[in-house]
Amino acid sequence: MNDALLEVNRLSVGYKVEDGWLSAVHDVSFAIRKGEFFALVGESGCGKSTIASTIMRLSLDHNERLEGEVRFEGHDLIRATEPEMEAIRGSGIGMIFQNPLDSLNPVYTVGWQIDEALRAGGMDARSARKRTVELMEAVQIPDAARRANAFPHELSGGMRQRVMIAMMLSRSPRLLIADEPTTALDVTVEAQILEIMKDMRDRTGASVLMITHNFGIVAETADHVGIMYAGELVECGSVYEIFARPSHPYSFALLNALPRRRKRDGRIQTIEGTVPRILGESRGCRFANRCPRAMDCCRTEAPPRRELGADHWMRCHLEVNA
Amino acid sequence: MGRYCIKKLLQGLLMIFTVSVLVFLMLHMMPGDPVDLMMDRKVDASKKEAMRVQYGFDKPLPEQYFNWLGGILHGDFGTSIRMRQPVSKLFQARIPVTLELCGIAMLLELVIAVPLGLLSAYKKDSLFDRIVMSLSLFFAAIPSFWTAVMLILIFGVTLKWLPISGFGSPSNYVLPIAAMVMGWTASSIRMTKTEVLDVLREKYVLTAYAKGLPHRSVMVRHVLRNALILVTVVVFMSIPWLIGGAVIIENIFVIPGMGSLLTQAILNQDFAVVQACVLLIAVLTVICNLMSDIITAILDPRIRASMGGGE
Amino acid sequence: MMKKTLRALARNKNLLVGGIMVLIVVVMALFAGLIAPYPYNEAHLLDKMKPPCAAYPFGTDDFGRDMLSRVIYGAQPALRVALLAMIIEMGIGITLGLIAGYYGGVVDHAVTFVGDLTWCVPPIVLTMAVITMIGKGLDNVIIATALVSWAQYTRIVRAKTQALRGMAFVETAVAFNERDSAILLRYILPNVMPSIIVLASLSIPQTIMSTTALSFLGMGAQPPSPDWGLALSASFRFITTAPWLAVFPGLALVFTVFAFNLFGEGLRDMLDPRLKV
Repeated sequence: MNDALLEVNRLSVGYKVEDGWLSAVHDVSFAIRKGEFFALVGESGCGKSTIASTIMRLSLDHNERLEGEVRFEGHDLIRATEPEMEAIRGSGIGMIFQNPLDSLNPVYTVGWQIDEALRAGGMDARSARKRTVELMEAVQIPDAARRANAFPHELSGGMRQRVMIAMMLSRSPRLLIADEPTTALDVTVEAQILEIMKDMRDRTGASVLMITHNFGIVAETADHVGIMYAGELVECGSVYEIFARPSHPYSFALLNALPRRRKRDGRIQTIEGTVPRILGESRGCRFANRCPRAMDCCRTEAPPRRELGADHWMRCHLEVNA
Repeated sequence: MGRYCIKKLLQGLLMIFTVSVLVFLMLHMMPGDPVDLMMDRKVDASKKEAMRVQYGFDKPLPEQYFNWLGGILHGDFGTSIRMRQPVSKLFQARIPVTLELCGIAMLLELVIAVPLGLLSAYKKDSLFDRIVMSLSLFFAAIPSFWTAVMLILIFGVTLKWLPISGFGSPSNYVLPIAAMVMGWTASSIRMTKTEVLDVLREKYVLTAYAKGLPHRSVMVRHVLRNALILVTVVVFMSIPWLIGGAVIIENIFVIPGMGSLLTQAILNQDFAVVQACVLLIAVLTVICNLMSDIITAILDPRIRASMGGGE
Repeated sequence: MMKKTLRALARNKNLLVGGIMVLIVVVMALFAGLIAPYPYNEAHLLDKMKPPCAAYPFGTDDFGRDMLSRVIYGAQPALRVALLAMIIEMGIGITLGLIAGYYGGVVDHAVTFVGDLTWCVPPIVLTMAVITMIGKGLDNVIIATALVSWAQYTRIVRAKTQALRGMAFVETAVAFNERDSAILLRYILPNVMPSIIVLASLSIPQTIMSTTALSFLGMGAQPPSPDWGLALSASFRFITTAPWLAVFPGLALVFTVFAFNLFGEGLRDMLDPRLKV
């Protein structure tokens, strides 16, 4: 996999809590190729956002334990020093967050905040402002020169998220991480934002890691999909493979829970139970207590990785032929 | 912004007006004849009547109020019965002393509390943070008058390093200011830390890191800049407390300021002085709050927007 | 359940340690007669101004009264003032806060304005001004303190009530034509209660500090009360000859304030971590 831009190898993230170590992410491996749109999907609390902030090394939590490696263009970010990370953030990897109001500083104009990113890359103030307006026009902000002088609270949610995208693309990163970028937005605005992101990917050739719980977004945008459950990556494959042949019982149930895949009686299929909170070392499969096809071995042995085809695999005890 | 300032100014004026009415009425809300309250009871009836006319107590209340207020606006705060001096003259000597005391105390508080609070928040749960937090919790529990007594005991009586009363040379300032600053600085450290922690948790701090800013820029331009809004409020809110603290401290160290004047006036039932002191301190407090509101609005565009436009 | 509560208590060290310290002060106040070696007022004329010794662990004052006994009895006025002032403050503050937050409009503006009035003079100065009018003495200090400090309850109760007013369960009650008083007492008050408890526990030490300060200045407790503030002020004259007279009442005061501060912070962490007082 020489064309891999980002390789996550056996990544585990634990947090020290009152009664032990909380395993937020456990033994997750995947890779993102250059120019690829990769989606990580899962319920809230499944650790997908933790993976995003771990790649950026953004956690300010001192009670955190990281294992494994995250290779970006060959460099292991887990072992990178803070100055090395500063050089990678912004110019190598950019990141967009869920709520575009929280993620812009309320006391500065949006233009100033994009300028700041450009200036961090060594640009002088005047050319930074010129580039800022160009960037804002590129993400389809009308009347960009005037809007650049607006404060975040004076813009709508969609506009703010466009500003975030413009800011994070300002230094042409090779990877853009988008953590639930449209969850706080209206559906119509969501479509526009996704369109802008796809457009950007096509134009700049940057890869995208999209974190979402929404399969609709996955279907519209992603090339590759990873499905997470309770801190583990349970199935990974091309978007076509995942939608056509969801093989892990959790992926299967998740796709069945989509409203357009109703059963004949018109009811939406749900998954019984809730995501467990994993403390310390866990044995067996984390989905076992909710899995309709769980066997005895599921509760005692870690499930093996089963190849389901080129670029499609899952972690499950079930035989592949099913 | 202009509208916001004007609105705040009007609110402040209304506040001061109301306080002045209440202060004026103090004398009249008490049971008994104001003349009796102002004089010793042994005054005979004809003299009392003369005084009533002299002080204007025979006129209707609103007229009395405006006469009183008019006098104050012209610098006439009435006459201290016990000290047999115009209150304005007492003020001239005493206000600078208290302002000096409070000014130095505030500056010290700021210089100590803000950096320590910031560092504690940034190095949360470190040894430094735990030491600062335990110490500040302890010092916040010590009333300033006991701090003063203990400082006198240690540095004045036992070690004989510093004078324990009087006012004049710089060494006279050390103990009173230390006593004033300790407790309040301790609470300010804790407050600053809470505010900075809140800002550190904000998503825009993550954004600032994510766009590749070096650590120092994030701390200065995003964390400190935003925490400053709240620290401004903390500082201005502490001014009334510092004045309150000065009242007690001035008494202990026998400092001829407003605080000792007020205390003596209350114990002696010297009403003109009490009224003037309370009114003056109220005006000062309202001005401080006004300044805090305006500075906050300058620092925070959200407040400008929400207060200046609608409502 | 019980076990879980105990575990939470063991983790919340502020609450645990503060609680024990508060308990010590309360026991001191309730059982002063049993604990103290002498009545607080008993003058041992032959043992005036004794430094701490076996018979008088904290020494004696200029009347020959045992300081240990006086320090123990001193917990009584401190707690009495704090509790009574708190009850009056709560009565005024909560009522006005509920009304202002629930009805809004002119009532709200009026209540907020009157509340702001109490902020615009430093509390101790305002308390002193009230005392000028109603006279010296510990009971008057209680009234003055309450009149000056109720607005902190109003501020928080009002904000919480406003927030609750818009919530579904309250709107439902409104839709079902419940009486306003019933909505306020049954739906809103219970949800505001945790914040009130936290606020109360954090304001008790402030009250104790400011009322002892007033006693120290001669406006509160009058002799021969064992009040700590009064004891400090009486001992101030003898600071060069009998420092123990100043040290022990002060330590008792600091212990009490520290106890309630710890306890209050513990309660806040447990009940309402984001409450700012």
